[in-house]
Amino acid sequence: MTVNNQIVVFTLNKQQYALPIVNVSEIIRVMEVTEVPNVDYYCKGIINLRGSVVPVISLSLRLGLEESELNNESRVVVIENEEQKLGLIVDSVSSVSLYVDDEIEKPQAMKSSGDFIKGVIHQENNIILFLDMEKIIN
Amino acid sequence: MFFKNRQSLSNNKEVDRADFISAVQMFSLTHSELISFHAMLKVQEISKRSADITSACQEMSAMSEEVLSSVQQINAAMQKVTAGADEGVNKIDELAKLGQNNKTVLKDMVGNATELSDQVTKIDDISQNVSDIADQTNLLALNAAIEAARAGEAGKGFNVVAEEVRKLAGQTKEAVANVKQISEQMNEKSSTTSANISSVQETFNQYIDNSNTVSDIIRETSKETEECATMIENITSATQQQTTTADNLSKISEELTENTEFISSLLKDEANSLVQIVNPVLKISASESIINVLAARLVDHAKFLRKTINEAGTGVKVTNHLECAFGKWYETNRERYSHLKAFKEVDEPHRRVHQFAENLSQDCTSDNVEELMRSSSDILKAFIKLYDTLNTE
Repeated sequence: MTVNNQIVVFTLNKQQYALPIVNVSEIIRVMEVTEVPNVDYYCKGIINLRGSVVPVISLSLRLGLEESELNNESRVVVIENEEQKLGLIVDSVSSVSLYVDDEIEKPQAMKSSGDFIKGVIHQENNIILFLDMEKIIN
Repeated sequence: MFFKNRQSLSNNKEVDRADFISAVQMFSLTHSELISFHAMLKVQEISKRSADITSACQEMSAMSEEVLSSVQQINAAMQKVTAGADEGVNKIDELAKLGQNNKTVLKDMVGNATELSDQVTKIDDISQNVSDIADQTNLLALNAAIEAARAGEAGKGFNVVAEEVRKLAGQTKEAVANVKQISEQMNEKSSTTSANISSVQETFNQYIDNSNTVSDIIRETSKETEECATMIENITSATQQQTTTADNLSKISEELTENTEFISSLLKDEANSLVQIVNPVLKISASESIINVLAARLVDHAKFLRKTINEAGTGVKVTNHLECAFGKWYETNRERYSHLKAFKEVDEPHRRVHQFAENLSQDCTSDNVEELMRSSSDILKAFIKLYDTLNTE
């Protein structure tokens, strides 16, 4: 078990998803989003995060799911890749947790829809879908 | 002879005259006896009436006594009612006072329940604040864990602290949720209490209204009872007056009875004694002349009338106008004197004297006496007329 096995767990449509903690920059409350014209349908606009402009997308829409309404629990998970930040709107953030390699399985039967899913973490009764950050960004 | 005859004739005429005057006087006395008898009967009637009045008065007096005792019973009952009403009013007044106290207490309770509700709302506000802080803390802990992960091996200890903080935030949220649940229950309870108190208050107001109405009714009844008492007093004094009046009336009628008895005996005695004194003096000769016969028959009728008075109401059979001496003489001499108007006119009153004497014997009333009196004066007049006629022939 190494530090790299730490993940941030959050929910979309009552399903738990996870991203490696190293990809996450911070978690913030949903703030006012400035809409930007002529962008993809899942792009919500941009926010001002302590002086720097960060684009924000609806992760649900990006994954082809139904978008939940914003509420008190809604959060923006800010991820960072090669100095580039991106805000992902999620229904809620559950925890920062650990997993062991044994617990992760590669999905085989979900080739077409499995684009965004790197694997499935199976913990007790919980199933956490492990997202591929690179796919989300592209 | 002629002279002697003349003298004897004139002498006879004198005797006849004396006889007739005596007879008339005797008859007059009897007639006055008849008058006395009539007066006596009248007085007896008055006496009887006054006795009736006396007994009516006694009845009235007895009735008044009954009324009086009934009124006293009513009075006693009324006093009980009045006392009961007074007690009722007192009790209701006490109730009203207690009710007023309860009203104040209930008002306080409503105020307290409202205040409780307000305070629960404040608790909710504070819980919300705490909940928000817990959320914020949770977010901070998450970010701290992320920072710690980025710091690699160096951030490992910090990660543990961040995890502990996050757990605390979770517990805080749970605690707040508990508080929230309890405060909701409290709110519900205080709303129910508030509603209950309002309901009690409404019922209570109605109760006070009703008790006031009852109090008013009792007061009204009390007033009416007092009026009744006054009326009863009036009845009592009126009844007492009536009793006194009846007593007075009774006394007066008793006195009247005494007086009438006195007058009655006086009339009887005086008429009798006068007859006793005068009758022996009046004498009729036995000359057998026509005038003498007439006088004798007049005296017969005076006796007949006296007998009738004595036997009035006894029902004794009375001699009729054909059976008496005069009746027989009259029938015998009818032919002889039929040319005389005065002779003819004697028959009718004579017949009446006998008829009314019969009536009086059957029924001793003042009316019958009066009729007899009238007939007796008529027959006297008729005899005098007949005497005059025979005398001048």
